[in-house]
Amino acid sequence: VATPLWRRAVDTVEGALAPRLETALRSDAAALGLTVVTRANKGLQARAEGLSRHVLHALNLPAATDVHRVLGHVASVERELQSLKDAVAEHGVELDRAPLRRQPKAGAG
Amino acid sequence: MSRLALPRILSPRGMWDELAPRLTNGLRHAAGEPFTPVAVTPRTAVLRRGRTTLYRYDTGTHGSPVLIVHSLVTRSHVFDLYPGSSLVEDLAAAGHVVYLLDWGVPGAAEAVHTIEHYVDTLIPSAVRAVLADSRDEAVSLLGYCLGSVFAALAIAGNADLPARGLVMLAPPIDFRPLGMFRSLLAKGRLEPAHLLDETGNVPARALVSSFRMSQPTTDIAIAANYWQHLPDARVLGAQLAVLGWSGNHIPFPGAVFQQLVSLFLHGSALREGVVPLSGGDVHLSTLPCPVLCVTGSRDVLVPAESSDPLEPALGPTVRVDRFTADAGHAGLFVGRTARRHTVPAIADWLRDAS
Repeated sequence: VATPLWRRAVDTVEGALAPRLETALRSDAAALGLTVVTRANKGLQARAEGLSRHVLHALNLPAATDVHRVLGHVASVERELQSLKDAVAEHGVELDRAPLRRQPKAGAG
Repeated sequence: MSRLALPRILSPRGMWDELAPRLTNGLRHAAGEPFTPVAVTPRTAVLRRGRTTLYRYDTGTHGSPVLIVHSLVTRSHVFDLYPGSSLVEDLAAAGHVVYLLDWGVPGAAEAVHTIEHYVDTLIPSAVRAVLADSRDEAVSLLGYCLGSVFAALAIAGNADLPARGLVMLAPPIDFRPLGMFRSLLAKGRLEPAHLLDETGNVPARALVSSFRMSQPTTDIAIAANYWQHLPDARVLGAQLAVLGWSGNHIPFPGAVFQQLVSLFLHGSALREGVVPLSGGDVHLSTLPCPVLCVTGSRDVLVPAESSDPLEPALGPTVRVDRFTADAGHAGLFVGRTARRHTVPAIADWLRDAS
């Protein structure tokens, strides 16, 4: 099936655009810009969290940081549980179901 | 009197004929109707450890086992994408019993998992489970992207693991040519910790953004492909299956990310072939089996130059074969080129290694 005219036009534009954009995005200036944006974003997020925590704690409500702390505790318990399960299964490979049945080789037995 | 003949597509009937199948398929897609069944090969969970699961594909084959070790970045169903485009299907057709080590989606509990946890605990457990399940004496491993590096470290660092051969698909050995993270982290502008979220992992959206920056016009090509193939449900289904996978990333374990940056990006442990892990140095030159390194000439995520230092890192004692495919990162095992050239080459190599 022949490629439609519109598709050839899109491919031409994309083909011309791609290397220029890739070069621009790989440049040091782009990395610097992205670093600034990432750092600013982190800073703003920290400030917003601090402010909302202050307000929510004043109302005796949990803030995102409290939820994160609980999440960390749950993760820690999950890891403890997993290490206990591993210790129980230490004596052999834990197989949940019957092993694969191999076909007897021709002439065997 | 003769009437002016308009091109058919400009007539109301022609326009409707052109638009109707697009409208139908577009609405089906918007309604969430699946066009292609994804990951349909039946499989059985052989081993579970936390969120990690070892699956055996029940294809009725009884040849030598192959363990696929997935990367940590994406979901593993890409190896069994859809009937007719499935690495699992192709390896089973070559007679292998296929196993897949699926890391699952990491949460806060996995954020502290280090490279050692994968290399010295999870992969060795999976290899032993494969041996017990298949009742074979050795296993071939096929690692994808970072999974191939972890598989190599696991075999080299655990002398009791019997490996027949190791296929490394797009192994990142030199991290310097890799994407935007390198630009941000290499000069110390950002610390790895700046990229972690509240769970302690690198969020999936950060990974997607990084990949998008490596291929900034991808969305244009995706939209054009979508519109072009919208009338054909079969082609559209294949396209949506790939897009559904490539756009659905998972978080990356935070502790592993910090180690990758210090050991492989700021350091040169992989390039030098000696990786300092907590149990001692792992020397890649001690790999006890031959290696097939498969790279894609159009891979922009792990360009071939990133895999080039593999041979010197392994040293002269390890046999390394190389196959370069005319493909991108996933195209190494998905799509027509993979089915015609790359996967048969891998299957032939695995047969020889067995």
